[in-house]
Amino acid sequence: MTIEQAAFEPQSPESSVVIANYLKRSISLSEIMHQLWSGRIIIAVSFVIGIAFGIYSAWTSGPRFVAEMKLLPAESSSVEGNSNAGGALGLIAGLTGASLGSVPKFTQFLSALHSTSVAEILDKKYAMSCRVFAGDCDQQTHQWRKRKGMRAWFNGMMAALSGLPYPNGPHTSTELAQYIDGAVVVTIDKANQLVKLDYQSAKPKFAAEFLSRLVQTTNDYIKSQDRAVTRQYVGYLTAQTATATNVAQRDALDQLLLQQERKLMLTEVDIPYAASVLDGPTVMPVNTALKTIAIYGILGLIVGGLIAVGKHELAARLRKRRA
Amino acid sequence: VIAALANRRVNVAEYITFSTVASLFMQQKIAQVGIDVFLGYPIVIFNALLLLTINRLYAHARHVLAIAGLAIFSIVSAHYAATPIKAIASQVIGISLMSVYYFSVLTTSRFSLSDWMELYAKFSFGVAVFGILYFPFQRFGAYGESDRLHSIFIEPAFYVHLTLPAIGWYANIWLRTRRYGWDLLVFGLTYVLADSALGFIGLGLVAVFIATSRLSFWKATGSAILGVIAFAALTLASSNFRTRLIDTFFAVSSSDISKSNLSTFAVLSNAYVTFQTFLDHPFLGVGIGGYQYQYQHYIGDLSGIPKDFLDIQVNMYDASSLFLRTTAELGIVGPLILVGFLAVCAQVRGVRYLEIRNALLPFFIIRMGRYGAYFSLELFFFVALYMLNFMEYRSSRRNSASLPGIDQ
Repeated sequence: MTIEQAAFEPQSPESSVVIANYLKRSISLSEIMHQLWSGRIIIAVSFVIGIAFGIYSAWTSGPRFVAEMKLLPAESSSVEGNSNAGGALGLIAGLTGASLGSVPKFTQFLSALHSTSVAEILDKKYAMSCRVFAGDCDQQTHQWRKRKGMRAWFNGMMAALSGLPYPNGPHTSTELAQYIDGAVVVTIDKANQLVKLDYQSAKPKFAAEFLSRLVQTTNDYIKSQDRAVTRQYVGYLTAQTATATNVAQRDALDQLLLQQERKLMLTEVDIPYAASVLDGPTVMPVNTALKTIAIYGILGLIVGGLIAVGKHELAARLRKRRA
Repeated sequence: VIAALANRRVNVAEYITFSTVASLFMQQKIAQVGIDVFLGYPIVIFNALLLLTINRLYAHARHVLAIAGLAIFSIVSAHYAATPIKAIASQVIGISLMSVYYFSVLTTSRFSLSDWMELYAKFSFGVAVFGILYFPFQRFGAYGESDRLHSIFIEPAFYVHLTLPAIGWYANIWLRTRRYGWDLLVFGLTYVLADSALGFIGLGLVAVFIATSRLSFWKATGSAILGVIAFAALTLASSNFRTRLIDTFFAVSSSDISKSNLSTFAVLSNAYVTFQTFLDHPFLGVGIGGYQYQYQHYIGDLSGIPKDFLDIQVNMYDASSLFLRTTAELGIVGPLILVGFLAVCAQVRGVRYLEIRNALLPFFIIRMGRYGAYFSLELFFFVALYMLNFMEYRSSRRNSASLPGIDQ
């Protein structure tokens, strides 16, 4: 088959000028392909180096596991949420002329997952900071080791420059809360309210335990908060009932007291309070080796390509200058 | 036969020209792999490789810079909006391929811009005639709606997108030379049979652009009155147009889209998602290709929507409009670039340049208003025509400035 390339030239004078200018400032992709082909050995070497580095990186980073939990709003949480809106608290708020916006328990739960208060409890009960930042903490004695290395030195120097406190001391609960915020991925399905928590770790048992403890502790935290507030309401309403003399007022206070006592009872039963676990924690291995090798391989190709084109351009400019 | 084919002389330029124009009409979706894959993509890829082998594939330095800028901007946006890099990569690759290909074809061909418009309009006319012939048999096929003309496309809206520039072109030529009168009537009939609100608005825009560049003030005023009468008549005559108009009005005024038709729901639900996304990321957007993730995040906020509508995720990938999509994905910069491009390249004078502008501008407004794909097959072909038309006009103005006494 013969290919004719004729009839590619533009016709009208304006077209000619515009197209000529356009093409003058254009880059021929065929030319670039030619340059890449000329530098194919550089590209191949660069690609092999990239692949080798990818294999090394996958080898040294070790195995990864992901723990997953699926959560739903607990039954008690929805009941409480509704009763809050139109119930006793709403009535008291209404009597005082204020409006009380009620936040659903499940929303509170999701916000509290990465709160410092929950992190503090995790730290106290399970020494979680020491286990999460295992490289900086002795797992037997739970004593923090002095941080060494380039990163610690650099962070220390930057903090000193800015007049900030020394950053390489023991990890705090706030740091654990920040770690949870970054490491635990929360995915909310708006259609069915299902929430999925993902957490990756090199240790599969620890990943599952970490997620379980986190969910349990956050549930307990929300429950204890509610219990404390409801107890105060019950105490207040009991005192008011004792002093009320008007029958109608006394009846109203009795109703409110009854509602608050029901709420208090719910906080003392050992059931999922804000979030109930639908599934998990399930632990699955995460194989990132192929992805890592592919990324480094592609990076190698790009770097090799840039070197090949750059070398060609440099040689052309040098030739031009000599001429 | 093989020997005959092997010995046949193939004119590459002719093949590239005809296959390029044919590819514009191959907007039939054959797969969805993160992006919509259309029937014409293999042709474009093959032709691009062919141009590469014969050293006819070019990218202007500013073109490369614009794509690189878009990619870098999107990567920065994605950092704040958690848009996956693969979403950005697929869009950037698609835009690069399509834009480089169509610009290369148009700049390396011997065809003038008018020749390209003529050839494209002839193909369009063929598609329109096929649409009329196929219309009585549509009900027997399972492809697209049965009672509205859609020719070779899945829906009438695509037919409108792909043929509107041809109508604009023929209308402009007819006013000057009285050619293509019958062709225009055939197109008119297909638009009536397509019964598409977009089509009617498109025809209105074609008329408006012709009027503004040709008529005096009083004639333009008279035309505007005629336009209002035509609009009222259309509202009465077309139940499809009326439904969309009324549904949109009530949905907007009552802030309730739960009772609207699918088309109105598509536009308004995507407008809601865009608005929420814009509030979260007004300056950087979420990065090119990130709209679908915002859609999944926000669409659940709308209450009372029929489950069927939510299940089919109407326009989840393209936001139903390029104006909406760029606002969500590139922040305030996106619509500014689009409107700036349309406005700047519309600044032409002289019959030859106005004819192309008047044919393409209504298409861009309709296409960008109701379809948000970045690299559907026709877009960069018309973008290249529109831009080169402006560049040729600027070049002719410079030449006339250097030759005193010649009025452009």
